[in-house]
Amino acid sequence: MKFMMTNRNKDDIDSWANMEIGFLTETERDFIVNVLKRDEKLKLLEQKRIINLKCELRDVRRRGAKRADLTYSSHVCERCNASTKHLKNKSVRCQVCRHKICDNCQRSSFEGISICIVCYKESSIKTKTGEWFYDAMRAELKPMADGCTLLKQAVIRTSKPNSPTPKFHTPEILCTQASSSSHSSQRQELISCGSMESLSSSLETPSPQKVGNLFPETGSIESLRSLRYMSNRESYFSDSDHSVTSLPITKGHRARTSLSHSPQSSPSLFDTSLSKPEASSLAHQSIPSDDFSRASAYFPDHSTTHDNESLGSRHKGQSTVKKKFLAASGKLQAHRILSRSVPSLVNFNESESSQDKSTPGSAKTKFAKKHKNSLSVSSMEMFGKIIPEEVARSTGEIKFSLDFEYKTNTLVIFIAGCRNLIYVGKHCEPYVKCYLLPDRTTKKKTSARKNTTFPIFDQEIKYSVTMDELCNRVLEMSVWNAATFSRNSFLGHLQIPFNTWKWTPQSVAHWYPLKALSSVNSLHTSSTYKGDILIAVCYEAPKTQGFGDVHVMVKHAKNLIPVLPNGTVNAYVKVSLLPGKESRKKTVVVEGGNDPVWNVTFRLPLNRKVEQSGVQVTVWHKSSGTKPPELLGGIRLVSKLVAYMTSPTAEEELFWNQVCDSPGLWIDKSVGLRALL
Amino acid sequence: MSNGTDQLNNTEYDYLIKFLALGDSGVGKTSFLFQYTDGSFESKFVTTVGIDFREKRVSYKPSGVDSSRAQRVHLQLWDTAGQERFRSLTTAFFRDAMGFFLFFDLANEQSFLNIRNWLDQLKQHSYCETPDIILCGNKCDLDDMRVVSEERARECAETYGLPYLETSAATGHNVNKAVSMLLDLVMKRMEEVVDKTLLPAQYGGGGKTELQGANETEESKSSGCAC
Repeated sequence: MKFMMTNRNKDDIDSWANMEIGFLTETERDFIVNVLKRDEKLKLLEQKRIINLKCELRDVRRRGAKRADLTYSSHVCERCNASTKHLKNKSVRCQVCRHKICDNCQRSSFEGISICIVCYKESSIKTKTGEWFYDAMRAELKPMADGCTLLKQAVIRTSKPNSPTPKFHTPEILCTQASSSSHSSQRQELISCGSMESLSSSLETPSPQKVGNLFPETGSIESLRSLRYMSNRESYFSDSDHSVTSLPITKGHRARTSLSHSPQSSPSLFDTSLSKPEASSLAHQSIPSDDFSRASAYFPDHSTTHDNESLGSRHKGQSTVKKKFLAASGKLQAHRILSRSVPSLVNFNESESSQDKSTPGSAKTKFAKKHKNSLSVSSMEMFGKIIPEEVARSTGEIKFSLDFEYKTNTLVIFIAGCRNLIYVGKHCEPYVKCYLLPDRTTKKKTSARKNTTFPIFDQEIKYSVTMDELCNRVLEMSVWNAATFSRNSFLGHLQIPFNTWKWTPQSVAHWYPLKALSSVNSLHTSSTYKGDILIAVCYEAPKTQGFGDVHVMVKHAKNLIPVLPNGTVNAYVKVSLLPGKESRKKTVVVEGGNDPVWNVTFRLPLNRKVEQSGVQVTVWHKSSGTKPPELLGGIRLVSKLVAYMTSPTAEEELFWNQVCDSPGLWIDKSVGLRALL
Repeated sequence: MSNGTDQLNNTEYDYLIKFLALGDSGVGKTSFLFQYTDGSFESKFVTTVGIDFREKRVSYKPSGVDSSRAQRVHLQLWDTAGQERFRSLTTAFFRDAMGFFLFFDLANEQSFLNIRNWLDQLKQHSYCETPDIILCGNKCDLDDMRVVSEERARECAETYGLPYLETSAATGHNVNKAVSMLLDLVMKRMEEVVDKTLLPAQYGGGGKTELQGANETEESKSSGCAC
């Protein structure tokens, strides 16, 4: 009577990775796909919520951080620096971090143990994000993918090549499962850099069967998970809680530098993240990837200070938060940030002496919600591209006018002033900083106004630039608080793409809303003309066996967007097969000018039917020194069949279909480059 | 879903808690969840295809603590197919559930006997060796068809150390109680886990880890069960 079920042992768990759903009928499969989609919707919601939670945690941590510019006597709360001499305000030690705390900063854990406000927040976030569940999970299960992921993979595997493959849009929720809540930032370091390594290694040896190729997010999640798992085992790292800077970070640092050694690795990471179709589904909260480089580079002088700051006195420094946040904000963003954070991390390791002065005047600030508004630099970096709408709301206004003097080729920005700036500290000293993006050497600033959130500047900032060039540029104006003894903090910004700007003969200054983090960003890249590339493609049908070859001749590019101050680029082209970015080829770097000529032919051996493959051509700017290359634009020649992982434009699809339909013939075309989302 | 899809689409909740219902085919897992989320009952039997889930927002007030405000909980209730052919598919979902409803049909002897097997499955595939489970004897409204007595079911539940409830998806008897009971268990567990990770010293060696170890050896020895 009693039927026996097969007892799976731990080895069998591995076989789960290949869940078989071949027995399902078409309707059943559709039903399940529908369930998975609903689940993804919920996951997206959850991810949004978790990001907000992580922001709160970061704020509490930041406010509770010990500050190196203050001395902590024995009668002072180590969280808020209040005196504990009075009878009313007795000091206790937090049972977790051993900080001495005052009554105000004291909370009790679930079991009734006295802990400080930071540790309390940490534990509460752990419960609310669901991290506790991952903590409680058996070690052997941790590296596994969850049921939905496995099922998704199975659905993809069993889907017939001609039937439309169900699309899954949502990025996996990393936070609850993959992001850790460890006590040490080291683990985060390991995870984050590890996932980067594993991602790049999966890029080096891609296989068509690899699920990661079909579902990029899945792959990276798994790698994240497994790395998390591994790092758990390397517990000796976590034991050295108080020597944050020593071993692990060096390790992480090394890992990164080794990555950045080969010129391909960084861009390819970047590239992968670009290829994800999810990016577009995230569009309402994310800004095109291309912009990320800019976003992170907006504040080049601050990104390093931020990293340093976490090396300050608190061992659970912001670096942890940052890394956590990376995990939280979805691997898409995480990889982008990681791939871009290479240079800043180099400094990270070297200047350990810097201090945590991140909270000017906020030591005693109540944990009011409005604090969110004064987004600091680090939060901008942390957010990467995912910005909850509530956070990215307006933070005051700026009044300015734009004029262009054709005679002298000068752009005149008249900055009248700002109003309603939101600043939590005591004395706000705002100033305005301008860039003509993408060139980040164009920084110009107004002087700072003292003790006001309604500053009047009445200053002109001039740029010598031609109108033609200006049309490809974006004016970035950001308002900052100039702090005398601490890091300048970010108050708000806005961006103006000149290609859509309506010039008026005698312009009058108007008020424009500032954003904490702008969604304006997304506007200009998608609309901006990025130049053209002229390529010829020929499909050579297989002679005996295999799938044949694709020959790609990269001829030249036209009107590339200038990156260097002199208005030129050092461009090279990367060609790879889709999906999976196989057989990557690179041209030489052509220095100078905006119309580089290569005239190189590459042979790409196909590993699947030509209709099911595609070619991706990306144009890069090779930066000097250690800076990672910058993506100038790209094209994806691919048909709709594989469109679930890459989305071609109509032009690109037509091109590829022509190639497929005429084996042996060279198809020659000039294609408009795009930001590749 | 009738209980306001709009309400389910905002991030105004504090916890996302995932439960999973399992048990033999036809014991009433889907009906139970349907009764819980929608408050209605469909007597027609429709077999679940592999996996499905339902959602509901509830507020949770921790028992014993009066002062704290009620927590808003978003429940994701996974429904699994009881049929053997979906087994490989459904067990993969065990890992991500924080608590379980193990169902049997009070009018079906075999479904009761299979509890043991389901528990074995859970032990292997769920996130920990001793997850929070509520044993539910469903269809308690069908008194005249009952074959499993309450005493027998309670005895069995005791052997496994599970809380037992007689439920009815048709009448709604004990449906809310079962969910809130499990929610209570899971929230408690959550707090324990967090405190444990936060304060390893206070818990070191003792507490959960040891308990789990003990259970493991004990359970691996006892292979057969009388029930």
